[in-house]
Amino acid sequence: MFEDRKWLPVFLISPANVLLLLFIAVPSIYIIWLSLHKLTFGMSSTFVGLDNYIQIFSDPIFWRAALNTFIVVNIVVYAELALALILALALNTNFWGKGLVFSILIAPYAVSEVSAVVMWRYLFEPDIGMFNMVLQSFADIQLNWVRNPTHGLTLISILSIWIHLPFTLIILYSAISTVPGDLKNAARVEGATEWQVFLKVTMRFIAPAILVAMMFRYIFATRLFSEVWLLNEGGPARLTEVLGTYLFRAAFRYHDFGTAAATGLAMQFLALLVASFYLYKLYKRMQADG
Amino acid sequence: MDDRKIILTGRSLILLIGVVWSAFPIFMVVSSSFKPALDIFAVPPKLIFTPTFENYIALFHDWPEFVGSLGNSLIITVGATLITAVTSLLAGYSYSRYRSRLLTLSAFFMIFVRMLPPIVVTIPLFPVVNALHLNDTYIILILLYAAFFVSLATWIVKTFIDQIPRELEEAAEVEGASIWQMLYKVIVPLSIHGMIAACVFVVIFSWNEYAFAMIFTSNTARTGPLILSEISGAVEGVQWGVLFAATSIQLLPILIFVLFVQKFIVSGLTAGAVKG
Amino acid sequence: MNVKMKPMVGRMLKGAVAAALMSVTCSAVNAAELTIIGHKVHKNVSTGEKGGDFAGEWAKASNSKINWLTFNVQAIHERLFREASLGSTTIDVGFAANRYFAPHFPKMFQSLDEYNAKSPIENFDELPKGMLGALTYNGKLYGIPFRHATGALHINTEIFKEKGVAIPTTFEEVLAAARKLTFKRSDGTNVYGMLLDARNPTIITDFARAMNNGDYLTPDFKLKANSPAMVKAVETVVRMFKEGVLPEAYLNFKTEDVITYMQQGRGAMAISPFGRYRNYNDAKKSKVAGKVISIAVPKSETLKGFNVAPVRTEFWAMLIPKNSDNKDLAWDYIRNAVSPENTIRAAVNGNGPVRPSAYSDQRVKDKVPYAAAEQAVLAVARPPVPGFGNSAKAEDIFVEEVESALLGRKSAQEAMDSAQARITPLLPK
Repeated sequence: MFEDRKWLPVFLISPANVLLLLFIAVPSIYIIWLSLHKLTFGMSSTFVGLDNYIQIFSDPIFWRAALNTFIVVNIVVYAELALALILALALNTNFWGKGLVFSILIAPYAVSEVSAVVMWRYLFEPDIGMFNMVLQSFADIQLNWVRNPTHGLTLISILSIWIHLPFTLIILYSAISTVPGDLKNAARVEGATEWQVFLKVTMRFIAPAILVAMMFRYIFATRLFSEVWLLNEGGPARLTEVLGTYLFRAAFRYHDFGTAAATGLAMQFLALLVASFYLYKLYKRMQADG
Repeated sequence: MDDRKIILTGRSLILLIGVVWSAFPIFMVVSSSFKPALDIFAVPPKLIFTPTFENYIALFHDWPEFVGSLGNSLIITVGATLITAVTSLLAGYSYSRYRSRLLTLSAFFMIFVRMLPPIVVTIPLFPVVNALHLNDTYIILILLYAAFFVSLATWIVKTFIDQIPRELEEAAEVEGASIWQMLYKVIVPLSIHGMIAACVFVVIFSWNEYAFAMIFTSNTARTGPLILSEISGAVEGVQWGVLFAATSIQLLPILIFVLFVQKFIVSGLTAGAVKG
Repeated sequence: MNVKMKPMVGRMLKGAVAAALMSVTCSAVNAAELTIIGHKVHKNVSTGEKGGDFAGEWAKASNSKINWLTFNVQAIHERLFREASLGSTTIDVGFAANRYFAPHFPKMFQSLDEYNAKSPIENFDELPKGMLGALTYNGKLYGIPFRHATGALHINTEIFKEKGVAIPTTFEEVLAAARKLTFKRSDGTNVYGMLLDARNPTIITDFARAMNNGDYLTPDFKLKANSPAMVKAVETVVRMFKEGVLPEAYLNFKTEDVITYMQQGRGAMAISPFGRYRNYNDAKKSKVAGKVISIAVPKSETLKGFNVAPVRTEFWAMLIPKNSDNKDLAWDYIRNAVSPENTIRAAVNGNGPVRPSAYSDQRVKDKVPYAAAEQAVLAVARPPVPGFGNSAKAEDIFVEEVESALLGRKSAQEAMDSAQARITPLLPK
């Protein structure tokens, strides 16, 4: 197909790649250079070799942040996958008001994070927040996220799922709707139960979409920042710190640009690690389709 | 018949919970914007109150630049979305239909490059953008936002194009269609829901993005989230009512947008055309 | 003059006149533009309705146009420092808060001594020495203070009356009153004896200062984190938290929460800047409007040499980026903004004036009920910590250690010892 125009494929991918090259890839080279230097406002850079990396890797707070990030990201990504799948399936039929229902389900993603955190904080404020008051009267416990880091991470996870569930939902909802009805009917005719239809037909069909959604969700999730920062700034006592807040402090609070660059690259490596499974699957799939 | 009823109740219950879960905090924000300031943080929370517009009036009085900032957000959002849509369509099509070492490499390059947290990139970009006199312009944010979403959009579009049988393109080629006609007449209509899904992400992101807008805009291209951050960063005490009013207004266009495009995300109608 | 030259001279003369005319009219048309970066509150107090728009008046008089660029606090400094690091910038005047002062100022900002010598600020000697000192590097001055926020004790008189407690006159009485005024109302709401801003580590410094003029970091960078004064201050706050005198959510308390709780009548006392008086007594937003008074934080009875506690003062200063194109104009603006008259007008607009004399002016006395108290405190208040390269890191470490103590994971002594150990390597050599 169009084989005579060898340059065509390259031409088609260039606008997208040029954007990325200019605005991310080329600055990244500078970032790599920067991570080997010490730099802040008003002084010229000094070469320090791997000092920045040694510094962050010997900082217990960095590892706590890495652990917290790892835990929250995994909870959030899989919870969202499960919830989005359930919701997408529930939506995959025609009923009056479906558009409105879907829009409401997407709405949390559209809210600015500042407002979302304010509201969730208010609902979960110790003693006086609505949800905590209800929890107190029914189960005699509270989500004491101010004092207890585990509760803190729980609230952060809930908050993050609330904001970001629509991301996975939109992709899955769109993909599920493309599953050809005839395939499903053919399977039903052959005696498959709904569950089998779901597994063998629907899931196989939307698997590539799930892969893409998961991979990007993982990448975006490792940058978890606003939910943590706006809630508790990584507190109490830096116990709910995540890599996103660690990076923010280095870049925007301490203006320690070398360390910020090193942290950013460490996060990139972590994202690569965490998404590698999905990357591999995508690669295999691409080879298979070719 | 019983089986169906169970499924129906199950669906309805799930969707009901989903709707309440999604809508409740938003409802709190919007309804609080109509509460007199005294009642907003009252404990126990006041569910019945006399609504007032005072917060909205105060918003427009204290922050007259808010409306203009939303206009800027609109321009930048539309620009970024258009660029993302076009570039990701071209790239997604190419990755879907062609294979070569270079293509595979660049497809994964697009993912890899996105693993770096974007804010780090502002450190070198800021002086460069200023030297080029691109600071405080619409174009710089348009290009930046497009760059951030072109990877995701490309991969989503590619996934959808993968499912379009090649016979259609071959038929078009036989009829002498150029690549552009083919993209326009065959590919776009059949992958439109994927494209729209990807566009929704760019739109929401661009509309709400704060960090880059803070660094690269001054007064001309200032966007909505900056005003929101100013309102919530008041040094003499946050005016919560005003903040909620501003949040509600800023939220509204996105909700309308989602309401409008959500039917294009599903392909109930076009499934039939795919069959040969 | 020979005949041939006449027409040429004539043309030259005409040209010269035309050029002169053009330059005059052009300068009227192309008024100079001054870009100021700061917080909206700075703009409001400089262009307010009550005290007058002295910024606008200056602009008219100097035939220029002011371009205000406002952000939230963190963003102001982010942009200001980045802009000042460029080759050239459009920013001419920048507001910076003392927390962000750093040793890179001399590289980024214009030293102002020459400007002050050429075109001096009126009554320059009146500006607080402590503030000017914080803006001086290697003997040169880099900024002019404009606005201050100094700690006060805000008292909900209604709650005091309810429980029959007298207004405290010493710091010991403050602590005792806080204990007595922590209770649960019949409708189930909690009232807390004291409301503090936890995110702000200087609150501990305030306690140390009130009790015995203690310090966490002296102006010459001696770290006193685990000095007995600081440990005692931390222990006091920890004890208050354990006894429930401080709110349950104290660990996460920001300025906003102090204001909200106070406005909702859930606090008997609060230590926050004097300016918050207006928030607590705002009839539209506060349930206890009209019932809150603001006084100087009383000192401990064992503290000699002071009338009131020498609590923290935080302030904003105006600076001129080195790479600005309009430095003369910028200086002119600054000079005008801190003139004695305009300081008073800004105070009427709601600003915290850095000139003590402003508090003696009748206009300020009329508009600001706590003027006398603020004046007394301003005389002895000091910036909480000097700014240095690793200020922010040191602050984060300090907050973390205090929070560990509050959580009960460490004793106050252990926490402060740890802070001392961790912060010492970060101090300037």
